[in-house]
Amino acid sequence: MPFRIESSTTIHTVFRSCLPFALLLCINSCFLSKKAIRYSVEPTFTANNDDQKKKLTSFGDSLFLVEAKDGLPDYYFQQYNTGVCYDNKCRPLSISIYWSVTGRYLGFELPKEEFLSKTDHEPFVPEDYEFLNKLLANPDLPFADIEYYELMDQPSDAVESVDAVSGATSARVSNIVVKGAVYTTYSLWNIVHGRSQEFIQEHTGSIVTTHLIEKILRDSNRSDKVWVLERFPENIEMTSLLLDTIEALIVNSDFHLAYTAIHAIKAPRLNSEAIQEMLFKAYAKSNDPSIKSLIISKLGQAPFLSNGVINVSRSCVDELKGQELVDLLKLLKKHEVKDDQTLQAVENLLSSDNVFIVRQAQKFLKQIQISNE
Amino acid sequence: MTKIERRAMLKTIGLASFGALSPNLLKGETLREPYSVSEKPITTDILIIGGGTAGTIAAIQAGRAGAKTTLIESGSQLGGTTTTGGVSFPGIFHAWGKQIIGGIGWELVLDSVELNGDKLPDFSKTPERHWKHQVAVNPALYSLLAEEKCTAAAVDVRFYETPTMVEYKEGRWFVESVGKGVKNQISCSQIIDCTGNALITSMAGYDVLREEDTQPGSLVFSMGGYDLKSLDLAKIPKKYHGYLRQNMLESQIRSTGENTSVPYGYVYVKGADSTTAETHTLANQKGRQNLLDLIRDLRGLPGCENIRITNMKTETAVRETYRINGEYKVTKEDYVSGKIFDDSLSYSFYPVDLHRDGKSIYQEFLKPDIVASVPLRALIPKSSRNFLVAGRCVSSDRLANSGLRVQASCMGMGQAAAATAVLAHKNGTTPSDVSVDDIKELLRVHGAIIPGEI
Ligand SMILES: Cc1cc2nc3c(=O)[nH]c(=O)nc-3n(C[C@H](O)[C@H](O)[C@H](O)COP(=O)(O)OP(=O)(O)OC[C@H]3O[C@@H](n4cnc5c(N)ncnc54)[C@H](O)[C@@H]3O)c2cc1C
Repeated sequence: MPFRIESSTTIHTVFRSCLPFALLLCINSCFLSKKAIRYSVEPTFTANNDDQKKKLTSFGDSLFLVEAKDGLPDYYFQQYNTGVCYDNKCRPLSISIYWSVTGRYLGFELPKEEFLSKTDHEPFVPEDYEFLNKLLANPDLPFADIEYYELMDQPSDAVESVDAVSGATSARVSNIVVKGAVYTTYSLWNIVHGRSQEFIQEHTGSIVTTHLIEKILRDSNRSDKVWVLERFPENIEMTSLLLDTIEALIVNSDFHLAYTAIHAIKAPRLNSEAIQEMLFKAYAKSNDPSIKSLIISKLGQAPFLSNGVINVSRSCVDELKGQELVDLLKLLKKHEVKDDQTLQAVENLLSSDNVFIVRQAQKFLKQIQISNE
Repeated sequence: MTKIERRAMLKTIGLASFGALSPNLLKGETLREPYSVSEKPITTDILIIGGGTAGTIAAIQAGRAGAKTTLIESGSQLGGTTTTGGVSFPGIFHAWGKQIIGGIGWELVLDSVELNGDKLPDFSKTPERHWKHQVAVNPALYSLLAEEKCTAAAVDVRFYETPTMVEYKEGRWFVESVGKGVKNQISCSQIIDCTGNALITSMAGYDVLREEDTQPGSLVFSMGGYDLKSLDLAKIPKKYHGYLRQNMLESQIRSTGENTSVPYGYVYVKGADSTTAETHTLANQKGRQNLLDLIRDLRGLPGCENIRITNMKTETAVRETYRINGEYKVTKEDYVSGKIFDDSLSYSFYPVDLHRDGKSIYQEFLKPDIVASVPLRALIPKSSRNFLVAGRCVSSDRLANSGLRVQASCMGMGQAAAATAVLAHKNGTTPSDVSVDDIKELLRVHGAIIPGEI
């Protein structure tokens, strides 16, 4: 689906239909500042000035993808140059927004000598910019579900005509907007988390390579990792470096990353012995019982169990208790593992002083016996 | 032949020969021997009464630790308030970005989420509303999985039964348990009261406490046949808005910590008490009447003419009845300061959350990094032997209890109580004499998280 960011006029129209936006995106063009105002969520993020020297891919409407030196996609940015109209007057809005390859907000930049101002025309102070930057970086704010007229406490039927600044900021949003700049915050947040972001995510998804995944999973911010794991392509080549990286994430103490990494591996992938063995290595190293359980149930989806997994699993049978033992025996049973060494390992459990363990061993051996008959 | 003569005859000549004598029987029909309550002696290690939120976990833990375990549940499925009561969003297992309750409760919740194809929220992000980290589960699946795990742990689950007598004699408990057509004499080493109402504690002669006024219960239901968005709320009295909105909450695929709500409509039931068959019947009847009244009212409102009930839980869920008077009573100060005792065996995290008079809720949030804990002594009725409780009847003052009673905390208590009971049984002693270090070790082996260790 070709992506089109609305031309300036379209954006203009959009904003016109939301009149109170006006004051909000009030970018003052007074020349107060010599240096461009620039805020980013990561201090290491350095964009822009030398963008011209880097390879850029344009998607129209001033949305660009910038490549890193290694040729991998690095970040996206979009320059907004439009007018915001209010009271029949239009003011220029000029701002660049930066996103990571996963569509995560990275920062914004104003053209040299421009600055943001509040509804009372007071310019933003550094704390306002910092707060704005923090708010824009939070994807969980409820702005996508809030209509602009809900930002101020006033009768909804008066929205189209009333001077939006005259009402009080709604209690629902008062803590999540820059004071005196409710509409600016709201509309910038919606730009950051709007259609461009959606396009970026779709586009990166369509060009993702093993190298890019490795890079994101190794070096990037946590939410970039989650993003890529949640959209893990089904047919990407699984290099040993990538497998090591995924294993490290599963063993990691961050439950959500580990959980998402296990779910990234879909059943059809499990006919790869290397993937099975990576999962079982992670099983042996993980300290989290629920992660272990998820790994075993994932291996239960494999069409067969690799010898490597069988050999190692056999050796840990006698150390397992409770649900971990139940899970592992269920896995071995499911894959009809009944070689002599495995049976011996399970038979050894019969001498346990925990009747629960003895019962599990008996059940397993009985099922194997039945399946042999 | 008179009835009595016929009975006497049946007894003497036996069923088969009587079948042959009876002229009215069609081919293939036999007359059943007259009904008599079957009486059976049962010997077990650990007896758990109440297969609800806490009791289910306790039973699985006891069975897995190798103890012969019997679970008596007066209802027909496991899970209690989590399933039968319809409060199917156990919380809270995570606090301040970390998991604080794990073990068997979490295992069951995670299994339910997986088998239902749901996704967990990202618990590393502290949500702006605590309840967003509750995990919605499919109650049907939850009860099925709970039962499967009990069976795997060889727990003898006895539905439709309730104890009528408990007596401690020479180091063992003797319990008479009655159910449909059965009356069992159970002899056990340790009892865990998980009835939620401390009923068995009271029957055993230990003190239980309650407030004059208790929090209301709730009958959980859902409705269909209206579209919230197209309603003109200005024309609908405010007192109905909550019902209409609450019912529309949707269970969603949970990709962030922001969306764990489930359809959850309820009517309050003042004074609901599930302690006895009579009080629970009354709570159910009141709840059902309140719901009927509500539905009738709603159908008279513009846009709600076609409202109908789509689901109703079979029982009114009860928030608060009796608590035990334990070896230690957890106070609100302990709770909000996150006190960890030497014998703390599980964590608890929730705001102090008291539903007052069915109209308002008193809430006090825990400060950052504060997580409360449950000491073993709060699970032991004062001066008791071989006796523990787990669940909402934990020994605590009312405000501490309003936070401690939530489901993940009850599950943590269930596991802790069972680990203690198993060790007490193995050592031939009473729970307060078991080494706390040994209990913690057993809990660790079974995946539980010990206070002070994260
Ligand atoms: C309406 C409502 C909303 C709530 N909201 C939340 C929430 O949002 N999040 C949260 O985590 N918690 C919530 N809670 C609290 C929480 O659900 C309960 O406190 C908790 O589930 C209690 O667990 P329990 O094991 O002590 O009791 P229960 O789960 O009630 O289990 C008791 C079991 O014992 C059985 N039983 C009782 N008497 C006998 C007997 N004599 N013989 C045999 N069996 C018996 C019962 O049938 C039941 O199965 C809510 C509670 C209510 C009522």
